[in-house]
Amino acid sequence: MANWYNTETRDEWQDQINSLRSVSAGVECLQSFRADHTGPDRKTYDLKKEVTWIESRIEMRLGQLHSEELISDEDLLSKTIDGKCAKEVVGEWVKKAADIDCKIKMEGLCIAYRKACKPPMVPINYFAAGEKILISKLMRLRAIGALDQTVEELREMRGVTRLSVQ
Amino acid sequence: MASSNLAVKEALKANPVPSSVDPQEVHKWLQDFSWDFKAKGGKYPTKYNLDVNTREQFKLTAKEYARMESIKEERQYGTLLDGLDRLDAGNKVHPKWGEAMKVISNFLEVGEYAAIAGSALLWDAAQSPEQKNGYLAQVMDEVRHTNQTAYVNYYYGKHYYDPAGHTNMRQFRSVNPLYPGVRRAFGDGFLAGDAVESSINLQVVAEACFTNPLIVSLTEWAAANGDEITPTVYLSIETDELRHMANGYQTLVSVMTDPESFKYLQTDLDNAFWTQHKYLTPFVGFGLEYGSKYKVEPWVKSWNRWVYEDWAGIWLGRLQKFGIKSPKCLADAKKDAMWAHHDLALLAAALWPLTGIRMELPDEEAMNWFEANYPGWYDHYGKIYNEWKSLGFEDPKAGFCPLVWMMQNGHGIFIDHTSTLPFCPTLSKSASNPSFLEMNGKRFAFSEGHGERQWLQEPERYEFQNFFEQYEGWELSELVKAAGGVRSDGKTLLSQPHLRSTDMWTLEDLKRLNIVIPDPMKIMNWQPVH
Ligand SMILES: [Fe+2]
Ligand SMILES: [Fe+2]
Repeated sequence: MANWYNTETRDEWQDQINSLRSVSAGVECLQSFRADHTGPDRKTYDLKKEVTWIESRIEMRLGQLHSEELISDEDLLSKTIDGKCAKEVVGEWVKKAADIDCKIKMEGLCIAYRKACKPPMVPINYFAAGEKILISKLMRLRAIGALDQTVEELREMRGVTRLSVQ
Repeated sequence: MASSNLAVKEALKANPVPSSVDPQEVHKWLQDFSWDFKAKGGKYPTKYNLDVNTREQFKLTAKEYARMESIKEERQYGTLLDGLDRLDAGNKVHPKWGEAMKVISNFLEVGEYAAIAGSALLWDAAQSPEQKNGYLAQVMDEVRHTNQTAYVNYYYGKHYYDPAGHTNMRQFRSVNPLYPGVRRAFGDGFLAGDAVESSINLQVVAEACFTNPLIVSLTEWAAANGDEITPTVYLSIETDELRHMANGYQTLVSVMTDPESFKYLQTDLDNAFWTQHKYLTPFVGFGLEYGSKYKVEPWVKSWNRWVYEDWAGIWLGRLQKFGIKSPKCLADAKKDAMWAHHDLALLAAALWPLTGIRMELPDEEAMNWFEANYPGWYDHYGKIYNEWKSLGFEDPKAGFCPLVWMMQNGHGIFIDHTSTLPFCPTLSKSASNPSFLEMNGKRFAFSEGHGERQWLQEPERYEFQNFFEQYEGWELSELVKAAGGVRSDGKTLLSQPHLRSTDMWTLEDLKRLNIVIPDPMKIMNWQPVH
């Protein structure tokens, strides 16, 4: 009998994920999945609630492939998945945020950071510390004057279209 | 990079745990205990600078705490397992109320569970050792409450004559369209986002504002309907709440003196109040007034006294001298207190196969009470209930489904994207100003402006697949079956539109209605407004 925690969509994706054989193929798969299916700027909402499940499976597979490559414990905690220094990579993102004082730009940076760096792309010890700095700044920019903006201004800021039933 | 685990280990090394449980030694250890972090600052983002010198007003030490809590546990479980068992308390509850408790206690369990994480989030964010200790005590309390709320369903499951639903609501609620609302207010509200905003949601609004009308009123209504179980447990929970309200007050005090932090407070207070109100006001009012046979004080009166006068007036009033104002949305909330729970009740009745409880429409006596306390109630809601009754609402052979009736009469049901609650624009009497928007190829529905604002400001925060999106294309009886909505005979439904043990609906009866779940945001002819 059908249920909602084991669907055809998941099965199809699981097959595709199981066939990933290298870190580089996994990275490519995860990057394009996140670009297409995650965040408010995603290209499509077609996958509905399956998104987080599928993303987590790609991350798991990629994490597994990464650890199977002969890397040291030290590197697992200090390097990005493509071998760069995690501290420097995160530092670059934080630096990019320094001059931003617009909440929409800051929001874009936070979304891009999450898509680019969420583990296993960057080890969690560096990713989370960086995200804390970025999100704290986004929260500050958002809270100021939030109660004074009218709904109309906010709709325009977001570029939404109003709909009605014909 | 601060690792909390490491910090705990280091703190324990500096202050080894006492070698005995001698009260004096434990007391001294706790007083000396400080959270010795090398680098200040917790794991999670926040806008605020929390004062390192904050004092915990509520100076309870662990020796007093543990002794006090163990006595409370003894009294509560002792009463339940000895006194109330022998009195057959489980079967003295009016069935209407016994059914309501299937959802009420189960939904509140979500809040208690999320409060564990919320208080832990605050422990992480706080900088002052005393303040950390206050939050830590709350973590322990909330673990206790999670067990207690679950125990109410467990006890009912063993002692009440219709256990179905008390036994498996955690499973079945996954398809209940009213359930995501509690996840939004209590789940996300208590533990996601800025730690201080979580504290405002949990301690300043949910606990300081709503636990009085919620838990105190609830026990009163329970007792009036023959339920001795709920007051025994919930009043024991409520005795911990003073400590939590004090924690909320301390959170505010710890950020208020910093001018940089103070700038953010009003926004968070307004948003938190709306988030909590939007769920609690309709849900509690619905539970009390529609889940009872014997009525107590009308919800609108309790709400006005506890929320409007006591909390917004007196509690927040004390903070006025620091520049804190009551939320802008308070006036709209006051309107909701009159009608929002009636709107929700109508939708709950229309969606009865998905609620997991046996729900009877108001009888004549109840209708008179509603009309006397909410003038205009009958013409708006009572008439519809009477029409449904005459069309065979209760009868499994009549083939009548209120959901279909609504669609056929042009009363579309949508799901508010922010609060995640269902609403019906054409039948709503509460503060309502619906809007329908499209962004990046996805359509969104909102029942009113405050929630729409919250979403427009932080859209990624409200990512959520609503009931229609999730189950679009499912035939209703298949969905109910897959979610565990049948009794032990394998065919009779958990949910019923009446309280009798005869004429109970089965999966077959539901299947005959031939309802395939649609997504109203897809099937209707939506066009851009120019
Ligand atoms: Fe609690
Ligand atoms: Fe609490």
